[in-house]
Amino acid sequence: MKLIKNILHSVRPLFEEGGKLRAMLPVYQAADNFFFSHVEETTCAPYGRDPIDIKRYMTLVIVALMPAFLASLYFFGPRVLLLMLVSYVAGGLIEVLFAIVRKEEINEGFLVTGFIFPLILPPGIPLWMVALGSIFGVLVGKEIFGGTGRNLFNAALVGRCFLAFAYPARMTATWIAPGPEKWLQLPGSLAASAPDAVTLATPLGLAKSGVMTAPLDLLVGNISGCVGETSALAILIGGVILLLTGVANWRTMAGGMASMTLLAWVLNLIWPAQVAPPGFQLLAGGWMFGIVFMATDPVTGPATLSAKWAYGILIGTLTVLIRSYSGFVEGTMFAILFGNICAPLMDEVVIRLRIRRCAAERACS
Amino acid sequence: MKLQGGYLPNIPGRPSSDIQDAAVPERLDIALRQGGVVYAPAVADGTPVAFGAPLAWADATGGRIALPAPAAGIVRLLPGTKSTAPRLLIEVSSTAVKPTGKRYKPGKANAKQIREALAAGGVWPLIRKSKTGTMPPLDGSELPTCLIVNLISTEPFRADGQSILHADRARIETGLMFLPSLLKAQDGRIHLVVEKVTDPDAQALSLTLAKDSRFKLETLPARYPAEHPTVLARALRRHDRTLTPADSIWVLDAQAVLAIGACLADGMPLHERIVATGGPGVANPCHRRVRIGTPLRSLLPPSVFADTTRLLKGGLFTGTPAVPDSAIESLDDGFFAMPNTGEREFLGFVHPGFDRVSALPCFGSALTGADDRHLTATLRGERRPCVACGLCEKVCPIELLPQILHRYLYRDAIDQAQAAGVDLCIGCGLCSYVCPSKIELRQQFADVQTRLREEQTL
Repeated sequence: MKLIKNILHSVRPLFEEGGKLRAMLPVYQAADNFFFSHVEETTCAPYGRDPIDIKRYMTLVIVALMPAFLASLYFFGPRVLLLMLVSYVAGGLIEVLFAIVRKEEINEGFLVTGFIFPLILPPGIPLWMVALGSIFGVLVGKEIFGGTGRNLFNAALVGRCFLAFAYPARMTATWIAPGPEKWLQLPGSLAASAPDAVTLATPLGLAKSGVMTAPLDLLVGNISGCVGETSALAILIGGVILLLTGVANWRTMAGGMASMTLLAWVLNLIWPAQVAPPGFQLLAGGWMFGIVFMATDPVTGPATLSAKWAYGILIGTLTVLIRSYSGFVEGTMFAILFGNICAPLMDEVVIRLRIRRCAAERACS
Repeated sequence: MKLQGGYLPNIPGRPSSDIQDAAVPERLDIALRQGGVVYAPAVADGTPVAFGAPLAWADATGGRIALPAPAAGIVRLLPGTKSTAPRLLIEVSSTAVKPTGKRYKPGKANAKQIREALAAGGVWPLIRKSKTGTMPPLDGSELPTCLIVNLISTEPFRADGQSILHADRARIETGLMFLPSLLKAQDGRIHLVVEKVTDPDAQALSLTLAKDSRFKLETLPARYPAEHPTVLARALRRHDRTLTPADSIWVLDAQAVLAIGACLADGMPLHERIVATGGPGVANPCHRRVRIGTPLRSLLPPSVFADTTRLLKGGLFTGTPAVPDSAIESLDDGFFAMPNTGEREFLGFVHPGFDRVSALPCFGSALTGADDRHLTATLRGERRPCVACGLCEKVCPIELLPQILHRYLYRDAIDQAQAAGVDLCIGCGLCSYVCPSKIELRQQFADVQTRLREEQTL
């Protein structure tokens, strides 16, 4: 601790006015505030403040992601670490670059985006694609809108969406069969197309051809799929952490889960061949990860609490519809991105209703 | 009654319910501008005044309000400067208090007599209209359909209504007996707001008042800002649907009723306040019965005036920096001090946090129910853009959408912000308190309200 303090102190002049690395000040600030909490006096009431800050907020999201991350390490081996490293470095470069140009501080939001991005990719994806997707996601999904807090779309999903459309074949042919033996096959398992890696269709893909995966496998995650999305159980543990700490909004999750279950149940009763039953829909594919970690991203969802219900319901409904009636196997990504587009509109409805109430309130005061 | 939103963190150092008498200093210092009222001196420099004699008068709608001398002595007039109001100093010659006004019996005095007696005793400014938050007119041109007597106070470090009720119940009961005369109609209601009806003092109070059906005991959860006049009136309007927007509601707190009881039944002018002193920087936090005009330096220990400490007047959420050389005014009810700066914690964002309390249950204290032991006058985080977490909306007591208002004001869309209710903000400060992005919402809204008011007067 003292060592870090001394290092930070000794390099500080380089970043100050007249220093050689003046332009890199955001990097220094980020490091300084990462190790030692920022202390700034309040200048207006209330003079005391709540200890919650964005760093804590984002840290808790990372903590909640840990079970899914650990499960992904177990099922898809050390390559996951490599994917994560590439995602962080590539996306981080863009984040730092923009912070320097804008002369703003580096935002913690990227720590979550960079963590989530590799978890929603197929495990066998080439590393250059991870880098490209991460850069595209951060740049187009976030920075051009003004950075964290001002982005319209979930940056990680924008990156994934870009990859899915630009390289559809690679995105659907890089599934790997799960299994912990990959840790014993180093360094071979690090390669994109390991010689003994088996390409395996995902449960949703199999379901299209009428083959249903066992529910227990879906729950535990012993299935083919995106890196962090296979184990519904691990994701649920993360979801419980998010809900208990209040970091994710329960309205979005509840709305999404309820609408998906209800719609899948009704449609399954009518067209059992075309629509998978709700239990399967909930556990398979990217749904669980999407509704727990991506739909609850506060920035890209609606800002008002009541609109979060509608937002969750829209995402759940669209996911079932896209999965069942479109050419796409999975619909969570599109549903959330579509939800992102609609979020401001949902807010507007809430605001309009609130404006009416304000008028009534003004009459009393 | 129900309370929307609101929040109350577990903060240590809150004053105990003990009320101690503070010594009367040799010199009292009285500002001629206090509680939004501007007084013109009625005594000449160097002249002696008796206890309770009017030191100054202020013009109010339909009459004038006296500023009674809190002690007998020789008056010194101090002219104001650009930043400070003119003041009166009293070199105290006698600390004795004695009745100066006419004594009334409850039910025997009419509304006009009561209003005049309260104005002459300096007590009238303690009554607030819920609509504007200002004192009501003296000429009876606006009368309340109902009164709210608030006996709870939740804001940390302000005087607690329950403690005052416990210490002075008899006087408060006397004060309450006079209130029906102020009502517009004889069948109007007086709502006494307490936290729990099972509280022994509340029970005793309701027993005494049981014979008068106009008094009603109401409960409100003890979440800040339950004591705010607008919040109280709003809760009552939702509770009692027979109230129309045209109906006026006046709000009084425990100290106001206490002062009314003393003024009307005993002929005592307003001369003292019960002030809470506490906070992480004050030893022995408690309530003190203080003569109005007592300089802060003679009331508080020297340590709270140090550079390393922030001394605030008011409560945790709305308190503003106290001027060290100022004195107790007739509306003051709390002073607290907290350290000015905090320690830079190593990897603070992963700290388990058993010693800090947040509106989000994401610290260890959520499991143990511990106090927030790290309260300092700092932001406790870095300023960031809004992430629309919705915490401000959750705590807002009047159901505004602070995050949306902020979004409007960020792009200077004042008209939209006004339509969405920025003018209704009561400045409770909860949104700024809980904001994880450390956005100064309260300040932003207050600035816009000022701008809107200026535009209106143009």
